[in-house]
Amino acid sequence: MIGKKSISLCCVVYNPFPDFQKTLDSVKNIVDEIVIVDQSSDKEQSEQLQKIADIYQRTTNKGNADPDRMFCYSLATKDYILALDSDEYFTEENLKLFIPLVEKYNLDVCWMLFENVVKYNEIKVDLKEMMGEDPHPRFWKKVININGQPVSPVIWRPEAHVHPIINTGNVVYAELHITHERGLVEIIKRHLQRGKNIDPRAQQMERQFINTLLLKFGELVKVQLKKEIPELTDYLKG
Amino acid sequence: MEEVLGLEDNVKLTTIRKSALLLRMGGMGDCIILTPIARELHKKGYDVDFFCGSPNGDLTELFKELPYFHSVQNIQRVNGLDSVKDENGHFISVELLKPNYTEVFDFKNSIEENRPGQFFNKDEGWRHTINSNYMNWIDLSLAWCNIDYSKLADKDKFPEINIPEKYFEWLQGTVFAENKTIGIQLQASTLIRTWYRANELPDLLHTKYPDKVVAIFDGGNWYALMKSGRVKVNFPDDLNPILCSCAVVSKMECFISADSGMSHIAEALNIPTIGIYTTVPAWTRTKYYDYAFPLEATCECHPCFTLHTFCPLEVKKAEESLTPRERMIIKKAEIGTNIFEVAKELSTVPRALQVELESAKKRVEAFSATEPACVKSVTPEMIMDKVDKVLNFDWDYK
Repeated sequence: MIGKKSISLCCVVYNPFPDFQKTLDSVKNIVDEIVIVDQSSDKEQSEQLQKIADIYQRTTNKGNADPDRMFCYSLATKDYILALDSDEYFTEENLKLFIPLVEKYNLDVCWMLFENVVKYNEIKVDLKEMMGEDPHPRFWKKVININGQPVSPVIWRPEAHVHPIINTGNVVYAELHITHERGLVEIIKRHLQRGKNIDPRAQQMERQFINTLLLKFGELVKVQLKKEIPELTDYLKG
Repeated sequence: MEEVLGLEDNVKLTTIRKSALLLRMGGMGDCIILTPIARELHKKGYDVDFFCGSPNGDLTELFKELPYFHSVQNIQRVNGLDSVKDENGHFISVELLKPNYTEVFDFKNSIEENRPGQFFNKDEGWRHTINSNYMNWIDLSLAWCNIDYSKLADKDKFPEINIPEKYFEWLQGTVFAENKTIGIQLQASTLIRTWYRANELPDLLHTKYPDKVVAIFDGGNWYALMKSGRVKVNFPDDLNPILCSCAVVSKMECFISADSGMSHIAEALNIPTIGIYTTVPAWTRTKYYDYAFPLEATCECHPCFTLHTFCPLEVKKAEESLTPRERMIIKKAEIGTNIFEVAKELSTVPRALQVELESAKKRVEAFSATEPACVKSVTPEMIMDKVDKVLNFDWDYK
């Protein structure tokens, strides 16, 4: 709860632990409800998720959160939705900026900037140069009224890597960051696993992303990774 | 006006002030002419916030120090939404802030849209009567804010700006420091309000007034033509180029301007200005201006009042120069006939038809850009005569 605004934390996840704990801890003082759509995590993680969730639904693994986003958000029961992926979290500093913002404005949608960091062993790469500030809507009213009709101010499309449709003009573009911290190996494995489950345009974007990412990490890491993940060579060739 | 809400314990007065939001996305002139409106709103008891945005750049510095503004903010378009920055650096959409005000005067959706739009049937004659050029823009802006302009004294309808001292300090180091400059700025945002022969004036002025500095605004920069030659005046990186230009104008003896924002700046700075008016009668802009010396087109079709980029007669001529086939393609596209049907009728394929349509439209645009009669009718000689009158004007008499 921020002020009088109750908040549902909504997450679409797949085997999210241990990173997910950081997500939950970062917002535990402001959320009133945890909604989890689990895309078929392993048994142990699934049980853990059921324990922490107020609302839990299990779906099939689609290799990508996007197809299940709207379903997840439709389950929320509070005034506002805070949508975080399992590898995203607020730092204390950013949460301090976020709370007064929500208290002050009667906003329908809040876009936030992203600090995208990728780790490989001891090496950390900040993707700001590559992805810019990467703004995303991550906080919005569950329902707004347009011409007497209740509608969601944010509609996520099921395709991967496509910005959602925004149905309102009452928007704040917040000057604060959500930290999105991922491991390089996990990203590659996840992309390989998705394979052809996502549309060709998104596949191409992902391949390009991995190629640029490997350039950032350098040739040594690339050689090392090719040993670690044998399918990577073919994947990069397309 | 303060409204007394209640009395408690016979002593305590609770008062409330009204708040107004003035919104303007437009050129410099569009924003500047709202200063008399803000002044009036302030007199009526409103705390006036002014959100302005201009393709020319950030104009807020021009208004921030004016006493009747509660706050002035630059509108920026973020992700397609007009937004302003709050004190913490967050961009807040203007729509979100509107409910915080007692009144919102959104000039984006009033004056700007007060014209025959593309969604109207252009053949309906009465649509052509919707035109904000039929009125003085300050009066019209007052009316949009529900202020009876007829009850306001003419002397209260002047525009105002404020130039911070640092700009005058910069100006001291330039050739424009002394008050003996004649300025020329003849580009307007639309071609039909631009005077095409601006390049002839500097030499004429320099020959007739060799002791004066001729300041020419061209492509975003000021150039000075004087006895010692022609120099470009550079703006320092840490100063706003718009305010630098205002400072340059502030030192002019006479300013020759198109129907553009600069003419309103000159009036706000009390600089005698020869404004060239082609499509509209000068009174729509300068009715209440003490320092305006308007020069109007002398052609038969003046004033045409058009709000469009090109001269309506030139557009008509350009359209008539098209072949019957091209005219038909444009007409069908305008009424939204299915492209496949039209292609079949004209024995072609949709892709080729699309190219034909684009090329016909481009040709109309190119031919329409020809110098129109109203612009032609204002000659350099007329301007030179007027300059003479301005420089020898008896201000005590006025």
